[in-house]
Amino acid sequence: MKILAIARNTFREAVRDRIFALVGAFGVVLMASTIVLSPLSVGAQQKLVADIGLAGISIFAVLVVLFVGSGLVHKEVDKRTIMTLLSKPVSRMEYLLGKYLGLLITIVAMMAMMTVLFALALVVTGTQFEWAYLLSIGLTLCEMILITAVVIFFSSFTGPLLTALFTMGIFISGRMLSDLLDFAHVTENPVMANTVNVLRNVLPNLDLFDVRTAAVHGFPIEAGHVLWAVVYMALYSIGLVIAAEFVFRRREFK
Amino acid sequence: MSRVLLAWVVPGLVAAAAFVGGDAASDRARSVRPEDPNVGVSYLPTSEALKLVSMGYENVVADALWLRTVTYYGAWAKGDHGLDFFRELTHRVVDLDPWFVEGYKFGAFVLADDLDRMDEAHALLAKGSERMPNNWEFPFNRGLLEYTVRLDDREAARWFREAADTPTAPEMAHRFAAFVSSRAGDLEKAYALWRFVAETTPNPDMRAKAEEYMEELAAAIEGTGPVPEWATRRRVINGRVQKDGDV
Repeated sequence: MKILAIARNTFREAVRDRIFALVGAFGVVLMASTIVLSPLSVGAQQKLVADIGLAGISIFAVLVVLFVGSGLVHKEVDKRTIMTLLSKPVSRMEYLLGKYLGLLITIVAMMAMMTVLFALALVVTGTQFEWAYLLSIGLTLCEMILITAVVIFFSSFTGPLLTALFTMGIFISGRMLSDLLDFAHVTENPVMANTVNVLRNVLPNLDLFDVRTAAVHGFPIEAGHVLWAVVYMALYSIGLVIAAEFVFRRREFK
Repeated sequence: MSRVLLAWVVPGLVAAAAFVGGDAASDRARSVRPEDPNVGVSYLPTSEALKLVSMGYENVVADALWLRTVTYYGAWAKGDHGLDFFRELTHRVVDLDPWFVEGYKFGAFVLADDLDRMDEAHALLAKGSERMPNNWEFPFNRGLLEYTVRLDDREAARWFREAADTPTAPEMAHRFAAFVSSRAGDLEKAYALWRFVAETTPNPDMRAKAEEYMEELAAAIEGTGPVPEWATRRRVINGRVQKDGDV
């Protein structure tokens, strides 16, 4: 119950910060691209609408995680409301889980609205709806759940700027992990290869959640892949939240 | 009143003047820019670099480049500039989105038909075949280019047969393999092939071109118009070079 109360409050704060204006921006980008760009796309209209829609949902969700998540704990520390909160019978784990859940509710609400706008864009352009699009959005949500855990981890011990920068760094390197692995295979420097091999085990492999290309081109998406991606997301996120609590528990507020 | 004037009207007028002035300066700068035969594409990073910076959003970058390719081609068609960067643009598009079949087809068609670079057109379609070995469209389009651009029936028939041999090939590919190998009149064969292109391509540029060729061929077949110049070029049929009129 305490977790839910904190989550509800976090969601309300996000709404008050006019975060959902981003949904409006997404709608404008999507509609403009379908109306203005589609006629120019010469035989690639369906692909263009689907590509922009699916990538847009992912990009806007990452922005929300970064901008809302990075200031989540810091704002309360700055206003000293955290002391009032933690002086009550609320454990630090409950506090972090509440914040995490609140941010996730915000992301889910935002992604749901963007999905509706995306479906609308498909209807407007006469583009065929594919169930794989929903699967792709589902895996993007899994990616956001993991990235939200990353942002919660960093915000438990650093300020908003560093949290945003670190999370951005993890997001970029997680997206480029397959390139890093290729690099480890071709480099003749054993130190470099070992470093990359260590990194591949530490950094989240975000490639797992990217099935946009398969969805757009109509390639089959294996159920096993989806299942393992969900398991990976759950384990990695649990690990990060536990690590965040471990650090947060030792933090003193004056 | 004077407060409103200072707070809103004056800054508004200054901002409007700045925007109008900026626009005029931009037009002026454009007009005095040295002439470039490939205006619009001044720098194109490698496919690898583009993949790296796109951070998993390769498809969107490919889409942006595809739009650039199409407008670049459109501007060339209007005589605005050359097509020197066309090949590079097309390769970037299909490198970033290797399953974008239309990119290969349109790129190969322009390379072969507009730029007379048949080998590069084949190379582009071969790249597609390498990535999607079961896709019948790549060998089929190679046959199409051989038949309609290079006018080499033997090669065209070979590619159509290869297309027909792929597991996903529709009945159409088998029909064309047999059709081109047969001794049907060239103009009818060409007409049928262009009609196939017009009916199946989602690309309006390709469709317009195919319909234009169909019109010319229809007139020649009915005897109401001359045989199109492009159909009277020398061609290779069954290994020997001969004039189209000899057939």
